[in-house]
Amino acid sequence: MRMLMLALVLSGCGGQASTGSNEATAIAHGKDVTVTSSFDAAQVIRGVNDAELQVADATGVPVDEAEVSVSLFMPAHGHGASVNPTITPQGGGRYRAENIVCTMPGMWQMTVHVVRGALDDTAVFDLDIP
Amino acid sequence: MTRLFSISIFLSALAACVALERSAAAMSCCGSTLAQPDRLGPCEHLALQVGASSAVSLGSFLSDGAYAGNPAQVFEGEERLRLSAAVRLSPAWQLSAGAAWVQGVRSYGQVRSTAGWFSDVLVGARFDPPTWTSWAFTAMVGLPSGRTMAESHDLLGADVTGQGAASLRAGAVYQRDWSLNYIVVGAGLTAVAPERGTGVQATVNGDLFGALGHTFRNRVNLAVSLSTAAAPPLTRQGEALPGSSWLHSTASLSSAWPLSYRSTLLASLFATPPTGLLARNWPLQVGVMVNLRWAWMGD
Repeated sequence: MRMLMLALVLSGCGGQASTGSNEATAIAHGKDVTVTSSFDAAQVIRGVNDAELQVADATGVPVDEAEVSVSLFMPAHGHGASVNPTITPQGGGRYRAENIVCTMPGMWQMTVHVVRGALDDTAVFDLDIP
Repeated sequence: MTRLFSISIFLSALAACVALERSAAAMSCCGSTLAQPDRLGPCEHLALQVGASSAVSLGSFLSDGAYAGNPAQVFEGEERLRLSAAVRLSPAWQLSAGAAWVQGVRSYGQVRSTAGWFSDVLVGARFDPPTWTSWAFTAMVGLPSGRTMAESHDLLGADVTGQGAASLRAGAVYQRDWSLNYIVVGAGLTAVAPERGTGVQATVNGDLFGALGHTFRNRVNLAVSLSTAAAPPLTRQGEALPGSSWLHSTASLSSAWPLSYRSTLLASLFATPPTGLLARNWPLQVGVMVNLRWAWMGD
């Protein structure tokens, strides 16, 4: 078991580069959204992970009632995961992501896509899977 | 006696090459390397082969060559049941086809899964030039019948058996024997079509292999072999995916025992050499394989 290691990468939407990672949370910035991820037990493991995502707009206001989807991609092998994580709104800009499945060691990209009205943005986390 | 000896040497080489075939499919979801097609020995007109293999992953060589052992409570294994056939069309030309049922076993902590599906179907041809008797030229087509990661029905992807891309390999083999020994070396290039569902573009990878064998007086054979394959970085939308090139190697110890006039038992132990010089972006696997082969000879 290894400690959670998340680092921000640019979202491809012109997002500002910055970093934010510690044992329990990580932050990724898109152009118009900021996503804070809190993984259960502060760990990302090979296998099945769950996370709570806190979504906020550029001004820091929680984005509630948005369409949020999460996808996984492993660049080193050119494929995604066997299942798409399921997202359950929790209210207050919080979304529960379940079944984040990483089946190989190495770097995975977890892309969070947020859509609400005119807001349409992504934030990308790098996951280092042991 | 000469014919029996030739067949014996052939079986030894076959045992080594079958082991290499198994190793080429070590990571069916990600890297595509095609091995040698099944082949027929001197005077053989038809051969059927059924094989079972089992392999487990002990860890992985990451994209920088660093080795990472599997964490505790992680288990990744794969069983294969393969059926193949080869037929002689003429003294110089042979055709073969084969496919496998692949059963994945994965365990990550409390979450465990076993699931399977058919592998990619492989169809091959071999040409033995009448004038260059030490040489052979081979071609192999991989049809993407396997299940990709995106098509998986299993939470842990245990049923992933292909990368969703057709492939074509062209290669050459040189074989020479002396006394009771033989050596076989070969090389090939594999063109891999764009993968369905991932946007990964076409690519070309290459492979080398070699085997050294000895035939004992009782026609039992022993061979050691080493194969290495490498691929450039994958590209998607014209951009190279970081760290996506791979290199993998497999060493094997193989043997063949004639059981009867028609049947032979082939067995191999195989493993990824434990060095980052020979493997990148690839698991370290160890495994065992047993094949039964029946052959029908002409006059």
